[in-house]
Amino acid sequence: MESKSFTTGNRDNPNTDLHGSKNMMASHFLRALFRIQQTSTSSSSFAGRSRRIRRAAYASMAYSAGARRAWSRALLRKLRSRARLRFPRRLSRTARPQRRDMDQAQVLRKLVPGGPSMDYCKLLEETADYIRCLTTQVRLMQTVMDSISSYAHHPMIP
Amino acid sequence: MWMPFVAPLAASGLDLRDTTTCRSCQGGPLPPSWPWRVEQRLSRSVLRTGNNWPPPIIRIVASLFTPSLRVLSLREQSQSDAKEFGDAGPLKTLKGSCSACELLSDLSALEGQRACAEWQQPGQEQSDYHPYDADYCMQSLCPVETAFRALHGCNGGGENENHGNVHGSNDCFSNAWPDIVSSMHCPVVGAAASVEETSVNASSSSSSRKRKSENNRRSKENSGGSDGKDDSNCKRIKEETGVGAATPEAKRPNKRKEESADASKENDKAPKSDYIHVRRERISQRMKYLQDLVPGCSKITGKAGMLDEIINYVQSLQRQVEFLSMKLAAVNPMMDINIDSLFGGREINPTCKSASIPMIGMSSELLDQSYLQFGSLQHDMFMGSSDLLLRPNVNPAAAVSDTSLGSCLNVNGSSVWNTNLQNVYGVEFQLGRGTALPFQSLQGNLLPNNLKMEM
Repeated sequence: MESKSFTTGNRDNPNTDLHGSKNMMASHFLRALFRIQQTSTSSSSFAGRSRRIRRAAYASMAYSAGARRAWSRALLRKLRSRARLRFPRRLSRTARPQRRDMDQAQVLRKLVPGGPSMDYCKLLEETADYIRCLTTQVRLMQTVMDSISSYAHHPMIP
Repeated sequence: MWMPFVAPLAASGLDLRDTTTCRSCQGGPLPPSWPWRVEQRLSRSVLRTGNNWPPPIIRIVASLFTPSLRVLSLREQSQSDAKEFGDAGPLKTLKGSCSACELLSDLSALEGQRACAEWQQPGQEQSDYHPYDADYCMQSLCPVETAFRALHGCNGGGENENHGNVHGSNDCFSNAWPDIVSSMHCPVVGAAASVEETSVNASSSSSSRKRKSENNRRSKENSGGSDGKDDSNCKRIKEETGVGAATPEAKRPNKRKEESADASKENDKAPKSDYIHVRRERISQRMKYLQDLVPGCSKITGKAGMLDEIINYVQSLQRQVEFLSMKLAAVNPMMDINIDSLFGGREINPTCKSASIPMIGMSSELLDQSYLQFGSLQHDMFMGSSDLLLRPNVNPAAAVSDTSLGSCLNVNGSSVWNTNLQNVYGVEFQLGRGTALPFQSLQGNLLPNNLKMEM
């Protein structure tokens, strides 16, 4: 029943291949989320709030990965230095036809934080960890989303 | 004592073929690709520089240039004049077979590490040799040092692939020459392997090219063998050789220059090709891992296709984050939540308010529970928990006394979250009213916990 192997997020079941630092990620993100909710007034714009939430998501990702990873370090640097920066940039690249090989690596470097300063081998490694972290974050957000919406749909049980 | 070894070395110019036969090869001579020329050149330069070398140096040098059988006889010789060696475990693996057979087919990284450990055990009795060796090595073996450094650098890179259990052998391989000698005969095994590999690679005849690549692949297989990726890596290496992906090609010239600067003349090509193969193997391993990670990539075999898929997946994930953050921003005002931090020791941000609802704890339970395949859960219980989740002004002081998230999991026992989680986390969710037996107790626990929470 309880398969302990899944807690490590191993590759046996890619669907549940979540990052090892999921708890930290969850705590950080949820705290940030509620902080945003508390500090946001009715006058604050929807776009601003969503931007803040997105930044909180990336921050929680970076904090959970810590300084171990090159991408998390680069992400933290970006977060601290440019608080106003919208990241990642709008993904308009998908419409353009992608050329092979060299450009692919370049595109990947732009996607993964800290990409430009890595060699190809390291880039793949960081991409893998980044993907794991991203999937964890996405699922966390989905969970929060679902729990909130289900609460909204189903009234409280007395 | 060492005369019998030095004499044949110096006199015959390392005509080792006569004395060494391989039992596993059915008594045949060593493979023709054994680089007698390389050996001879190296040994001559080595022997030229050190006429007054101490016996252990000669022995070690001799052992490096000879197949493993020599190592065996060397150890036997030194056993007679030295102390008790204890378990001659590693020798048993090398006994009676030529180094080609042994090192290429049997000397896996694990064995090497074990051998290193075992080598080092008896080595403690010979501690008096160590400073001795180091000094002489530093002084007299400089021409060989760069060569071996390059070799060990390559092999260190190759061995590094094997992670945890090979750590011992990594130290052996990646150290410079003096360190290797001083750490007893451990590197003899590894160095012999490296000499084997590189000497095999360095043979420049066209007929041996195939054997070189074969040996390389086999040796890389052995070094990465425990994963069971050998065949796939073989194919991948073949693939990559055939396809000639541009990106690793772009990287390789840089590395090639670095390597050629380091390597000695004789072993010029050997560390380069080793390094390239090691890099290729690394890259292919990582691509394989990414293939497992990115859903729906199992059918795609091309490198470019894989990269495309990876890029698309990363972009889609980032888009999802954006989309979800927008959704959360839209939903957020509807919640009337007094969520304060509930973390004690595990806080990242120390400036937390007093703990109220263990929502965060429960949400982390969500994550935890998602891995535990709990099976079906009742939906009404889920209601209760979601109610619990979002009710304001709940003071779960009792529940949250232990601030670790794991304990929250235990306290709340909210297996009900799996209902949602299994959807979220991709685990198959079996909706059903009939709860499994194990859940009875959990449900039983849930109510008192709820009551506790609502206090």
